[in-house]
Amino acid sequence: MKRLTLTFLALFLMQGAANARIDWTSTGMKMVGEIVANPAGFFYDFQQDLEATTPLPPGRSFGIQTGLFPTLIPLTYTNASAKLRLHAEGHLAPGVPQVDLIGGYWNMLAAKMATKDSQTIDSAKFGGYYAGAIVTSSVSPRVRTFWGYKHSVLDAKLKFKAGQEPEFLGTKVNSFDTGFNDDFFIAGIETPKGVGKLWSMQLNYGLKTQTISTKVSWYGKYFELGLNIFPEGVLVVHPVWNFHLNF
Amino acid sequence: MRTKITLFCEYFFAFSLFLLIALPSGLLAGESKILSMSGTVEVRPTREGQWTAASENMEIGEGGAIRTGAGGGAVMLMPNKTKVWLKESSSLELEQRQTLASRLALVFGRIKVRVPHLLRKERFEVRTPSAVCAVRGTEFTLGTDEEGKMDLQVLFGEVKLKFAIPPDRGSDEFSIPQGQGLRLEEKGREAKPALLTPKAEREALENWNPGLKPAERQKDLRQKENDRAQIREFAKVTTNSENTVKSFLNVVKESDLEAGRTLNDVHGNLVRVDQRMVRPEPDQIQFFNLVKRPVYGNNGSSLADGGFKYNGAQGVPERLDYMQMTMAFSKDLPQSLEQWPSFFSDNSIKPSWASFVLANRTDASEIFFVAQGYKYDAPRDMLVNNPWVLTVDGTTPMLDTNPDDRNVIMTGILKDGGAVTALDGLNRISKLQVLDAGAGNGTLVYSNADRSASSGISVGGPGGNVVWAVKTDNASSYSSSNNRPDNAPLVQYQADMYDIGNQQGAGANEYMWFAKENYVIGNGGNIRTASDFTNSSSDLFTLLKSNALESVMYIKKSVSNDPGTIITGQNAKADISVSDYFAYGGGAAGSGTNIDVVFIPDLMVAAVQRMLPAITNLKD
Repeated sequence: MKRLTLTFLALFLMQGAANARIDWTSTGMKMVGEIVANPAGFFYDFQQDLEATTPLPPGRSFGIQTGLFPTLIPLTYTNASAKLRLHAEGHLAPGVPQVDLIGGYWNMLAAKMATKDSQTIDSAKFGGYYAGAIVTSSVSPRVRTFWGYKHSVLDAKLKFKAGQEPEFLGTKVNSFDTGFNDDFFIAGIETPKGVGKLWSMQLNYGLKTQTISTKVSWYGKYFELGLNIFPEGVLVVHPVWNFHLNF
Repeated sequence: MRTKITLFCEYFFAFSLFLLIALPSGLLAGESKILSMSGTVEVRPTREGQWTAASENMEIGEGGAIRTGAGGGAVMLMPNKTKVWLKESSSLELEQRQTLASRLALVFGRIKVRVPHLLRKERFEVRTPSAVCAVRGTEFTLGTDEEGKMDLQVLFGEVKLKFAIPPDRGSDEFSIPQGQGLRLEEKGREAKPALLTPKAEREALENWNPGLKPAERQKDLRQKENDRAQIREFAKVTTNSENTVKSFLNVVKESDLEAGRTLNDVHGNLVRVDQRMVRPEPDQIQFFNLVKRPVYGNNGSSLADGGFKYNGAQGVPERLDYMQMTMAFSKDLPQSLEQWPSFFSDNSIKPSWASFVLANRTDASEIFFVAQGYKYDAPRDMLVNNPWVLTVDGTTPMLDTNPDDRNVIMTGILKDGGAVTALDGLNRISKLQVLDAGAGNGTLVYSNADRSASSGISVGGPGGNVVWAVKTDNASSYSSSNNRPDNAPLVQYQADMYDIGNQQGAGANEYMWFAKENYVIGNGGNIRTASDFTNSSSDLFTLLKSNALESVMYIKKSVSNDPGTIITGQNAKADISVSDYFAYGGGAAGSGTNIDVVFIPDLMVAAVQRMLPAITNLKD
């Protein structure tokens, strides 16, 4: 952990020096443009941060997880994820892989709070869910590969108060109902880095959006630290901190 | 009869019971047997039996045992398909062998056990002098001596280990997953699971079959490692190729920014739209949107809804409509689009001039167009569009307090046959090489290339008619978008009155209406509603790619030619004549045409995204 903290610190300092000449105004404007162009995609990247898409460790049959950063803090994504082992590797027959069901739900607290005192917005819902399955197979005692599928949905609904509707080419807009949904193929590799400590790297491919993202995670008994990389996202690298328990 | 039936039933029941009891034991019949062996191996077939020299396929029953001497080795197969490898100097007892419970006892030495699928309630255990290991679907190695020193390596699955003598400290029970092991130095001492070292893992995974030389034991492992190295090499080569393709694509994206789409317009005509962004000069950027229709028709259905009258011909073949935006800057633009944001963040970069041209070419020898020009007004630090734009460079810009500081359009029919062809004329207008002729009637002349003086050539050509006009400041505009019902089709009708040559009089044909019908359409030509956008799960890019904007433009005559009487929107609508201001294609006066542009946002969005900082700097 100490080594990890020092590595992050070094990376942070190096990045600061390396980016000393970045034109932040232009970069910021570009980012705003990208968010405006695809807001659902931007917020969905954060949904991926809280999604529990690694297999249950060997010997565990049930797991729960909640994303802490950057989901709960600062984005107020209240969230819960769960994993359930349907079959332990080799349990039914030799060579039959481990099968886990995964799923979770989140809701943005800030969206609800913002509507409380709003003069124009009647109600707002910003949340999502995902569900899928992961199949895990050992290639050696210390290396497991996993494959999976997940269906992810992000919902964004905004309803305006009567008489406060904005106009679009002369027409009143009562509500916005937009979102994002895609089916993902997951492939990854996992290896232990100590007793009860695992390291995994996975690749998610969105079948509809045809986008790739990668997750690199270190996880122990209680916490998962990760770096999620979205090459086509607005924020390419997301540092991630999640809490989990596996039974 | 009844007795026979009863008797049959009794026999049948007895036979079924026999099958039920006898079959499983029959299926599981047979004992553990030696699959292969080498060196000194001895077997005690039963608990009370004598040790005898072993041979292949020899059976060992419950309570039996097998031991290997120095240099010896054996493989034993149990009825439940469990395979046990014994290394040299090892002794193993089959303590229990029942249908749902098996227990081996490793007295000393080293074994590898591969336990396949077990029945639901079946138990399989291996005991050592110091611990009991319960397993399921597992492969592991175990070594022990008679004093209880032991080591365990779990290769696959999980082993539940329980010490026979609880240690003085720490837990006496562990679930040890694959990739981990446990080493106990002494009975009753504390021990914890630890990750397998690569060396221990390699030794555990090697081939334990008896009779193999040390070099042969790791042959399979080396083969696997070679395979993995080849896969890694392949992945490396693939990544390199992928990066090469990505760089190539980036180069293509930067150098060739273009888009195109085929769709139907609001009138049902088939339309091909092509867009391109080019740099005609190092300091200029030009965007054009070309609209081609094999056949053009306009049924005038918008007229009843508040739209405008189309007087042009129906079924026009090979119609071409065009929209072009050109902008010039005070410095040369960087070659790479990616460098543009930082380039435009430099405050010393200013736009010099800009033009916006809309045109229609139905007849081969003439072009109907509407254009707007912009010039950089240094005191105001912005691009302005007012009559000053039509003066030679170097003149003093208008103050924003000047009542003539109003939008200006240039419009009319450009014809071939003069010193300047219609096409060349349009090109000069797009470069803003036009000036007010000074006749007081809105006529124009071309300037020289650097806009320092008039060329003396009238704009329009023989028989052409091109004028400039300024937007009136006292006539009300017409807009039909007000008070439309919720979720109405996205249609907008708009018209503004323009004063030709800014004469501010009330003569015949001194005023014109620049009228526009705007539609948001899908690729099928259907008019969209707001909910198509607000209640969609598609992202903005996907939405934009399935929609387009169609703008139909007319220059109409004024009925009254008196802006002072046009106070309301209704007055404005009533003043817009059904006749066009210009005649087109050799038609009678008033029978002009329109400009019908279908704009696809695909390319513009990408360009705007990339050039957002530049647009912010322009302020207007």
